[in-house]
Amino acid sequence: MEILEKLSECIEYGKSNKEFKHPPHLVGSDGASELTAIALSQGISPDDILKKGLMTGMNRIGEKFSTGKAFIPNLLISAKAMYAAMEHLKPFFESGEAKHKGTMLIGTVAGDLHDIGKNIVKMVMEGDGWKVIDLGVNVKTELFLENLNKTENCIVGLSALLTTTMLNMEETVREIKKFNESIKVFVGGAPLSEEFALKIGADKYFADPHSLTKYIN
Amino acid sequence: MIASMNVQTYNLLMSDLGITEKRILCGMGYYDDVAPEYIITATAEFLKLADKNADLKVGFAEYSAEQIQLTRSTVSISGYTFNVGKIIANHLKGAESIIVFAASAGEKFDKWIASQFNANEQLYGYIADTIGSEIVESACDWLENFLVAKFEGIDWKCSNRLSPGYCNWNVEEQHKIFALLPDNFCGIKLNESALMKPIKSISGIIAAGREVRKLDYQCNICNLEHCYKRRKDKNLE
Ligand code: B12
Repeated sequence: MEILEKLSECIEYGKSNKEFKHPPHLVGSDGASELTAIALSQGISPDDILKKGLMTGMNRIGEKFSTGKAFIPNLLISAKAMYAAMEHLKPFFESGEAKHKGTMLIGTVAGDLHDIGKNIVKMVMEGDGWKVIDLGVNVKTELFLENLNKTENCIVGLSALLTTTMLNMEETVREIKKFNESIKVFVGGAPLSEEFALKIGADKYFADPHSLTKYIN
Repeated sequence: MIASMNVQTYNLLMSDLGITEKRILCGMGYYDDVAPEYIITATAEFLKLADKNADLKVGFAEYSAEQIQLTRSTVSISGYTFNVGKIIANHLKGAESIIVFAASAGEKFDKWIASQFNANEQLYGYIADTIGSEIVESACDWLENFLVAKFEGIDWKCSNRLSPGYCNWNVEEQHKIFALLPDNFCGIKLNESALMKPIKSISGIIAAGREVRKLDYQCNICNLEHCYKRRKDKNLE
């Protein structure tokens, strides 16, 4: 469907709406917001819009990002275009007609205040069709557990940027696994490694969010 | 009371640093690649606003030869022993003076960044955030130049700036760095996890002496495996 291909292009290049004067090759044409509304009015299902339009676009920009061909600003404007499209899909998620792939609880661990990395993971996951509950920064283990109690069937993402605070992940991972061993816990942040992730009992480490979406898909 | 006889702090303005748009764009990853026009324009606009939001401070306490003891992998400064590791210890060789320093873009800057993120403009938040990182790095460049000029007269050279958390020097040792600086130095507070607040802050040491040499540092010897920010161009204007 041509309209979904156009929509994915808008997501990839971050064209939120018609007025937005970026990228140069799409100036003046409909953006993600308009195209989503048109697609819905043509009877295309929210699920197809999400999978064939939005996710395709987010995957393309994610791939460029993880191979060093695009950078964080590109990812951020793509995410903005995706949110503009999502606004039209919200009612379908609320009515249950469209479904998220699952829920992710995400937070930067206790003692650490870095949030950009975590925010980017959040956006990429949302763009991949997940519902994300963002617990913020300096998140104590108890807050994760409290939210796990309230949320069924979810995965957890933990972020840390210092070698000191990444040590606090260990306790959080342990307690989450004690709470329910089957909950998948994924970790990320500059000083971490796969070796560290396994040592503290997490399921896996990812250097960037796109690798995570590729893995869980 | 700290044991340094020479403590100085400076308030800097953006105009003292001469930060260019290009430096910020590189800070966001665009070294060889041209950033989209929209991002270039937004960066230029934010750079103009940065001055109003920065409360840029840099300062140091100088410790002299009799207060310093150097081994192959440690350095003691006024009774505090740092396990800096071999590579950093090598940078300190010949130190007749060690300058313990800190720099910060100030609390207002952190708030400005947060307000951009909260306004739900992630891109603007990220640009402001990158500017914050680059201005505090740039304040440290300023300090390095200042020290080079200061010691030139007595024919001493300076090492690179060396920071806990880099190159196997445990970030936790920042607690000792701050023990060697007056309280609340440059408005910085350190939490239990050795995280400085304001966030846009840097701490470290610089060695000076007749036999000190400036060696390759940063990207060349950094062991961070997945860094999106390996500096390809070290001489950004
Ligand atoms: C910019 C920067 C700074 C800036 C600003 C820092 C800030 N917080 O705003 C300045 C210059 C001020 C600075 C200062 C310091 N820094 Co610094 N800094 C960096 C740098 C270059 C980039 C950080 C960044 O903003 N990245 C961008 C974001 C988007 O990336 P990210 O958070 O890593 O997230 C991505 C991935 O990691 C991943 N991810 C993150 N979380 C998660 C979670 C999940 C579930 C998944 C799947 C993925 C994922 O996805 C994200 C998107 O790709 C890193 C090196 C690096 N390349 O990362 C060092 C780095 C973070 N800094 C480091 C250090 C040591 C310091 C200082 C302690 C140095 C000092 N002594 O002064 C201070 C501390 C400052 C403080 N307030 O306490 C070390 C930390 C490691 C350690 N040893 O503890 C690093 C890793 C550098 C290194 N070579 O080791 N720093």
